[in-house]
Amino acid sequence: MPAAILKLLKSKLLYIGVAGVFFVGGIGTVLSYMTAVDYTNHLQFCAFTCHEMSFPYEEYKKSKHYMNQYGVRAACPDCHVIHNAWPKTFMAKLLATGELYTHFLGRMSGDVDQQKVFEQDRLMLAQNVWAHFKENDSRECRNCHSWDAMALASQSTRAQGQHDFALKKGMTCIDCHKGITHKPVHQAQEDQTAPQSFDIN
Amino acid sequence: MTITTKLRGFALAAGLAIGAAAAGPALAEPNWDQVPGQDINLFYPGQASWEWALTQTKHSGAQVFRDKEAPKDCHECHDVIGKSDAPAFGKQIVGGEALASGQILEPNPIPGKLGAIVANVKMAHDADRFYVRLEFPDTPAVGAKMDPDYAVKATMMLNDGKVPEANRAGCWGACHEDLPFMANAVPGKDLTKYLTKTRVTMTAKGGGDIKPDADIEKMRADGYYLEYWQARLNAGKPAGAVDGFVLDKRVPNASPAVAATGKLEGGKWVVVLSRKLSAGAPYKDLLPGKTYTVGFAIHGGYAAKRFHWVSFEHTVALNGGDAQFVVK
Repeated sequence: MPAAILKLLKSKLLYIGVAGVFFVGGIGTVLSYMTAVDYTNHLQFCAFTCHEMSFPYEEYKKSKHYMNQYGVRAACPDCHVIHNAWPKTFMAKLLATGELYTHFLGRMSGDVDQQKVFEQDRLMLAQNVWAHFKENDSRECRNCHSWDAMALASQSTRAQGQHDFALKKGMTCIDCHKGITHKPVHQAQEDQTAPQSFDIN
Repeated sequence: MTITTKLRGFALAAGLAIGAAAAGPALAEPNWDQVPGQDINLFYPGQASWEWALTQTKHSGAQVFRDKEAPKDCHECHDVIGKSDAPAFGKQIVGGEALASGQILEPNPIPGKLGAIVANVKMAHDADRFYVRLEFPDTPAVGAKMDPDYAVKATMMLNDGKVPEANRAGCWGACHEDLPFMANAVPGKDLTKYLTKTRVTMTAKGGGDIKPDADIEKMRADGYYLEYWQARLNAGKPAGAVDGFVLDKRVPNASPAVAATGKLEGGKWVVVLSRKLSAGAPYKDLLPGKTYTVGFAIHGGYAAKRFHWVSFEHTVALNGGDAQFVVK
């Protein structure tokens, strides 16, 4: 091995240099990741980057989460991206890239009626979201809402009754609050012709 | 077929039963000035049926209503005195707006029709008769006259506790998905109000076949039926009275025991329905201390079928007892 290389390997400068590259590279990677997360965690990105998102976006615009008397808005990522748990956020973002496949090569690619495909898949997509919410005790709802911040006495009589019931039964938000932002597709799950009891005693 | 055409036959048939009652003797009514009244909210219910009310995805309160441990009746969530949901519900429904559950209960919104009205209700009794006085605004016809024979019909449904669904939900206990103009109306089957237990099966789309006659007669003998009293009104004419029962269908009596008076004054109808406290079976005996449930419906502006305003359930007791109306 040439003497010059041996000398370099013995030099502290090399190790400092390598460490520096990793450090700067690491910071760069973290910053890039954070920038990407930041960039994609916006209503503008969700609603207008991919055409197929225009369908749920139009429904969302009619909801209380888009506009309400308090002037508070919950945008797409507030409900659909995990907060304050970066490994899970990372995984969620990674999985979301699967939608690129759907867009370029999958069901939404080519010359298809995207709205029709969306409607065909709507129930399945909604079920995925409900399962996620149910599994994590409606964590994304709880980014903003919580039992201890809820002034039950200020609510309507029926809301008080419902929330009192939910508390006693250990229910979670999504148990009742399906279809509040997007179409109430959960009603399509039911077999309207199945015999069932409508007796109450 | 227009609504008007479809209903004409029914109205004519029922009219036959009215003549006798309208010609009945004049009754000495109570001194209503001495009787306290209560304002009752009635609202336009659209296609909200018993099945709808008990389906969680359509009515988010269904699980609270069905709960085994601490079930709540309709009025406990929706008609608390001073905080009734009725005006807001009626406005949303008649306008074809989606409710919180995403449901639209009126597929054909009716511009100009009121979503809700308020009726002042007084009740009284003497040694012989029970009287109910309703005072409510006259409402103009909107669109075609569905029942061209009567400008207004004011109805009270009476339950003596033997129909649990009416104890809990008043008139909704007899309102079903497969009735005319409801979401799952059966073409050609002009069904009328019925009670759930009279059907072999029930689905979210309404009732199946009617149970055998022997089963129905057993229910009747057990008192599992509702009684209704109705005043049929046209301005300037004597009121007609109709009464009858709801079990497997709504059946008016040929000779009603109920008497009715009604007059329109200053834009308000004042209607009095009454009958003997004990009118003989199958009329329900009105006994002191016992709690009864009543529901009110007003068909205003020549309306018919489900195009009425309906109250939530209200409780009544004679002389004393646990009820919203304690009648002296």
